[in-house]
Amino acid sequence: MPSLKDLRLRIKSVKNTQQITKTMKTVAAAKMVRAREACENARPYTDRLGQVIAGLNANLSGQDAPLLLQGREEVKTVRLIAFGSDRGLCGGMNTNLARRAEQLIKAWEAEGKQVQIVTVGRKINDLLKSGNREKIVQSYNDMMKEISYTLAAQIGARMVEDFEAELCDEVFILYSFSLNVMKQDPTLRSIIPFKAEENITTTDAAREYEPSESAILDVILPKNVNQQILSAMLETYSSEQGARMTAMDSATRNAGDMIKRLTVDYNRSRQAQITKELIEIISGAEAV
Amino acid sequence: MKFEIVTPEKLIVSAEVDFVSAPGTDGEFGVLEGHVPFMTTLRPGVISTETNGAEILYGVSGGTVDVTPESVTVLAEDVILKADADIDTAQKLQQEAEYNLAGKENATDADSAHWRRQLQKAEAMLAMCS
Repeated sequence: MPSLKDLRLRIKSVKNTQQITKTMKTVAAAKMVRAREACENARPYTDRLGQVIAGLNANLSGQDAPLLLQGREEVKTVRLIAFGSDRGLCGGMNTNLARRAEQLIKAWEAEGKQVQIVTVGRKINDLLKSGNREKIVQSYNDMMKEISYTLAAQIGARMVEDFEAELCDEVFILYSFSLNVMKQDPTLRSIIPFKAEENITTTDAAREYEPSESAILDVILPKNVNQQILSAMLETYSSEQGARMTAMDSATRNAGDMIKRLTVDYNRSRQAQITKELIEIISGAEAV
Repeated sequence: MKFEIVTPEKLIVSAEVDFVSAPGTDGEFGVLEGHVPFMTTLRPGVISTETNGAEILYGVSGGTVDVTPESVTVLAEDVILKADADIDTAQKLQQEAEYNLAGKENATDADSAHWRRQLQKAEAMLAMCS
């Protein structure tokens, strides 16, 4: 039986924890709003680029399409860019991403392909490096604080460079798509070669291309790689905040339950103590 | 007709305009409503729009323009507004980029790609200042 003092200290410490989780939840909620806004702002460019490329793709005959668009015929090496958060305490988001990554890696290896991993985010790097250390070719940490197109372009240029140098034949991104505050989904997408979104509406109308279709594609395809990376970062960041919000919310609730239970225990032992003292006094008085 | 400039991070402008002139890779061109649909790449320079005689300028570092009879859509990585155009910053950026690009004009590595973009941005800013 813990003493009264012990119980009092326990309650106090749980209350402190509750205060912290509550604050973290509020902060995550505020950050989430901003993150969603950034996602929305990036959306028009992503959509337009996708439309333009899909339109050009439909127009172009197989042979002259750039490699970034149609991909290499023989795929020996697959590169996976796994996005995650830099910080923990955000529920199962990173674990889910890592599990999905492991499945993908296994599947690719079963097909006899070589797998390379690039990680963006400290936590996903920690999770993946335990089993796949030798496959990680590059890790970007602490990128999520200030997500910008410039950062994404640096990663993107690196990927294009490695693709051109035939270090890898396909590049996929695995990121967390935030459906809503409660739900985050690991999402896989191919960025090299280009794959159009399913529900894309191509701006059909025939048009002239100056100087030429392939000249425009040469300019636009690397930008699409950058942009896909940027939106993956934004979505993952937004997921992180959403996941943290939910995790901290349930932590706050659990702490509340715990305080209630501890308070009952505390009152009970206090009562027992008083009763014991009374009995002692009464039986002492009777003895006289 | 509708005029839009979209950058990776946000929609810069979406407005009704009468006339647009833009620096295409193959030369400066102007667009009025009802233009034949075409698409071209841009070189660093200034896009100007006219609405009821009022002119607005936007510096662009490159990108593409999509022209349809009823709209002009610019996809650009960097857009410089009049208020942000500063000749000192531009020259400094240009020098720095040129220094870092010296001797590797045709290199395709990630670093040169970054500096090439900075150089284009500087050129766009200089074009806005003149």
